[in-house]
Amino acid sequence: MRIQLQNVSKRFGALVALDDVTLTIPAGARVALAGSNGSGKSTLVRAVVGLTPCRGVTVDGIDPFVDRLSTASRIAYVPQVAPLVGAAVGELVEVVAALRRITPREIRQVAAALGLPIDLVDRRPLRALSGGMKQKLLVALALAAPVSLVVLDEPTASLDASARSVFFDLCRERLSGATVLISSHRPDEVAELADRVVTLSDGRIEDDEPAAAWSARRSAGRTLQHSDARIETRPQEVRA
Amino acid sequence: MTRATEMTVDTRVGTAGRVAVRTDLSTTQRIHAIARLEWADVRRSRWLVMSSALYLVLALLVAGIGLRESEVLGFTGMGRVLASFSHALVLLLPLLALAGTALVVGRARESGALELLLSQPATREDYFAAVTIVRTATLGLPLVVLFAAMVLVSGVVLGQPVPWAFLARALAVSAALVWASVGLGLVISTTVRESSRAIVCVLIAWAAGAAVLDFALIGSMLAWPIPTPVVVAVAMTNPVEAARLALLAGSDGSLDTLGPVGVFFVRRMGAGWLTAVGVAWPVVFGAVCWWIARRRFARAEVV
Repeated sequence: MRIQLQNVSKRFGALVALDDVTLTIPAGARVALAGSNGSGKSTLVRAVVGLTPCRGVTVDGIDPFVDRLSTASRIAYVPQVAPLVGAAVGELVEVVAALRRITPREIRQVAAALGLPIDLVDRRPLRALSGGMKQKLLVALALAAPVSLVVLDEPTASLDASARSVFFDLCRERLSGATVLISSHRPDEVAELADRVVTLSDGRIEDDEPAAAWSARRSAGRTLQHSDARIETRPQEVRA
Repeated sequence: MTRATEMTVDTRVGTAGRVAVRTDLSTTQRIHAIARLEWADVRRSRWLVMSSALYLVLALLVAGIGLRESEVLGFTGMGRVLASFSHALVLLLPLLALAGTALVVGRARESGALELLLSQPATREDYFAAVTIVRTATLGLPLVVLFAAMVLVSGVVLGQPVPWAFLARALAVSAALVWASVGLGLVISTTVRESSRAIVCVLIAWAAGAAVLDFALIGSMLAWPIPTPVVVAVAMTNPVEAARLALLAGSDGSLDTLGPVGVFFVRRMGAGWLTAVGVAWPVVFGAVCWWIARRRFARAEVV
């Protein structure tokens, strides 16, 4: 699916979340959104999914907020924060499966691959699961359905190292050919899932570069920060 | 909107580039799916248990007091129990319905449920319809069961004559009042973002409904020079007052039972029309509120 943002601005009261953003993501591209907290990543992601009204955002030429049914069945979304609903895990799986026109078994298989045996937590309320379990379930709900755009908002924030590794394998296996839009702070996520990184700052696009260049710049910046920190600690060390 | 019967060739890439052929869900199927989740949430929140328990406590209290042989308001025995119970419900139902609906969108947003559900292939209108159905049914069904139980106890166990006409009227009035309150609650829910402010709005709306009855208005007339047509109009635009008058329209029609506004309408319209208007107005009020809330939910920044 092709994503197009044309001079998109979004305000929440006095706060400018997106400021005249123009961005094109071709079908099949894998793009990461980087930037500090409050830079506008989540707002952009929600606009693409159709969760928030935003003029100038189209997915395959369709406004995802206005024409939900044409786009939503082809978009999978992993939110940053897991919902604290009281419904049981099994019920949620069945409802999402029904809406996505897949079988609950398909979701259960993906969840099992991520290390979440749904049979064991079938009757437990979703809000009672641990952060990692909720995240695995959300990923399973998103990746089980055949879609052509996957939008991930900090998808591995609550996953341990092994689950993260399985998640990357699953993405490689199930998302070949799909467009991927990921909001992330994590270099490993970006390296695994994105070819291109768009950096946002105060709601504007600051940089748009290949993922390799972004990673290299970030590593260089970190090295510089470390050396600065060493220099700053010297007077204290001398005093000590 | 795509219907269930329409086949759509789906060329989404997904799993290993597979091409799936599938049918899209109909509106009814989508609403049903979301309603299942909403129902599961309501069950676990114990809101259903609480509202049922309140009805039951109220019914037991009223039955304990009212089943003595006496004649009040033109009703005797079971009739009196139902009359007293329905009167209490006229005040209790709006409070329960407002409390059960005014926070529904805010809580779903705060819990993240809206974000998850609205990212699925369903419209905001589907979600809104599912919530409305589940919440209205949750308030209405225990009431129907309780009325049936009261009839069973009085008719079969105690051998009292069952006032069927009054029972039917009480059910119709209660259903209309639930619907009016659900509509108003959903307006609050889609307009007020913060839960604490929504609770204040619920209390104000309920207090206004309970206070703006003709007795209160007549009291105001004694203190300030308010024209009679204004008092009558204000009283009847209150769905709670309309429901109260519809409930009492079949009684003896005295001033102390109906109040001045009720007597005014009974003399001009007759009891039948007053009942019809008293049921219809809360239904219309609820429908208008629901439509406003749905429109707002579909367009506004709710996630």
